Amino acid sequence: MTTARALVRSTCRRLAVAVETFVDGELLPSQVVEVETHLAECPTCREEVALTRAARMSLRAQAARAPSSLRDRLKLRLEQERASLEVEAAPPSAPRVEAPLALVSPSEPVAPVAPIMQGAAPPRRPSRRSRAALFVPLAAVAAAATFVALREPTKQPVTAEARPTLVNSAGVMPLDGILDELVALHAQPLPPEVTTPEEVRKFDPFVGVPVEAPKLQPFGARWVGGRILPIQGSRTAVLQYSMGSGHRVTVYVYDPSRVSTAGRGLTAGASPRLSRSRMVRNVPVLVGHVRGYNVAATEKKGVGYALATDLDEPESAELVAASGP
Amino acid sequence: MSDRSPPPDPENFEEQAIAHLDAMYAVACRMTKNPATAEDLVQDAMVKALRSRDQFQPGTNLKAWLLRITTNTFLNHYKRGGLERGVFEGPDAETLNDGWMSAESLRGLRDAEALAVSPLLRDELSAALDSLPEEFRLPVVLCDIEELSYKEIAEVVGCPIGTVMSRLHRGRKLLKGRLYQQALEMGILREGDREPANLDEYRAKRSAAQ
Repeated sequence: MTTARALVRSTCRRLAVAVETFVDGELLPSQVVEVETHLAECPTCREEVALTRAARMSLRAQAARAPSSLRDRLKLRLEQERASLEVEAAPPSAPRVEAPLALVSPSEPVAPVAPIMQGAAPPRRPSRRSRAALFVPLAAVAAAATFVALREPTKQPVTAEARPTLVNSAGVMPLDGILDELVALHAQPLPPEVTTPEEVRKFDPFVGVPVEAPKLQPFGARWVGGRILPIQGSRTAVLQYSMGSGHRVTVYVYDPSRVSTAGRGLTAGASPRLSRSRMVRNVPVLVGHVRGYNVAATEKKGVGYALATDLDEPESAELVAASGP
Repeated sequence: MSDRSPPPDPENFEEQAIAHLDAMYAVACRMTKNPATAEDLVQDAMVKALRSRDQFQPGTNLKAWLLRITTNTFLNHYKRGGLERGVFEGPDAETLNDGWMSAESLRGLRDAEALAVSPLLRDELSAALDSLPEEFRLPVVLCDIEELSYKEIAEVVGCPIGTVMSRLHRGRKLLKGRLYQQALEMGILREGDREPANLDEYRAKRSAAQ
């Protein structure tokens, strides 16, 4: 390499960042002069500039555009959100009524009505979203895991007096805490205590509900093992499966009645991480994302099932719906 | 309270925010690398934006503000912790030749790029961008695709402007290195060869291989 070329190259190195800044249009005028002078004598940096510009045009041309379905869903969601903002803006003198509990008693295994409280009364417009809104009852004290009270949604308008506080600050944290714990246990699993599905029966007295390993084999899941772990202070059966694809599934079986008796109303929107409802073969399921994992929850015959996976959302919903009897 | 202007009307604010939906979605796609997750992220971010709309300072860039919320929502709720950093320590950390390429190689890449009416190099470029560690990918996306200023990027990412510049520089260097590497593998460029290979020849070879 000649001395002249080496000199130019050392200038290139010195100006490498400046040349990019030049392309980005962020140089001071005095610096622009220096870079332009260098570009005039250095074909390499000229090409560098040209390539940077070409790459940028190309990337810009293929930037993803929001699908119209997202636009529609977002409009509904924001409309619902505006309605709740109006509620929050109401004068604080209005009697604050605790959200009705989700009243799941052990004698009544199927979760009863959780009235729909979303939206102002009368609702601005019945949206798909607000009809699907659910309460997630939640134990403030001995919360075991996510638990879902589900029912045919009611269209009955709610009176102002009965309207709950929509975002209960005392309620948001525990749900988030449970979700974090479920996902943390999935992300960094502990070794199983039992290795055959039949053995999980002996977890019954610890969990307080009949524990049966969900039969997920038809979905390609292989049983790995299970153990008992306290989640937010309440014993929960933690069952591990692996999929042929290398994905893992963790199913949590818990007693929802222990969760719900002290439960607080939480609207679906209160935790954006577990807020979407789905129907899977007539089983209502709540789904959401936590730290990149999918979380799904449902309840069957008084037993709560929650699931954390790295599968996609429909598969997660499918698996949790298939859990239980 | 008193010297604060009243929060903008939610409906009006929403309309203005929706105008930046494509930008939010594009950035969300690049961050999550998954369209379905990107949709969820955008929804969550929009709701957050609506809730905290009184924190937006009128006269500043609404798009940058929305992208900051999108980024924070992603980092707080969607990211699996600690997966990406390792990539930068690994063998991919440094590109060949310290990122130095001859003018001919650079031109070869660009010509191929210019020729990319068919999505050939375009896909490679996109894949190379996706393969960047997040801390470099995000500034590149915000600068090259969303055309934010360094100052705005610094606010979105939450770091000083100098850091934005060095991350942009490193990100682009990695990007070019990968592109160069791919071009070599694809036979568009040959190492040490000053003449770019024939793109049509490569395409024929590739379609024959499939």
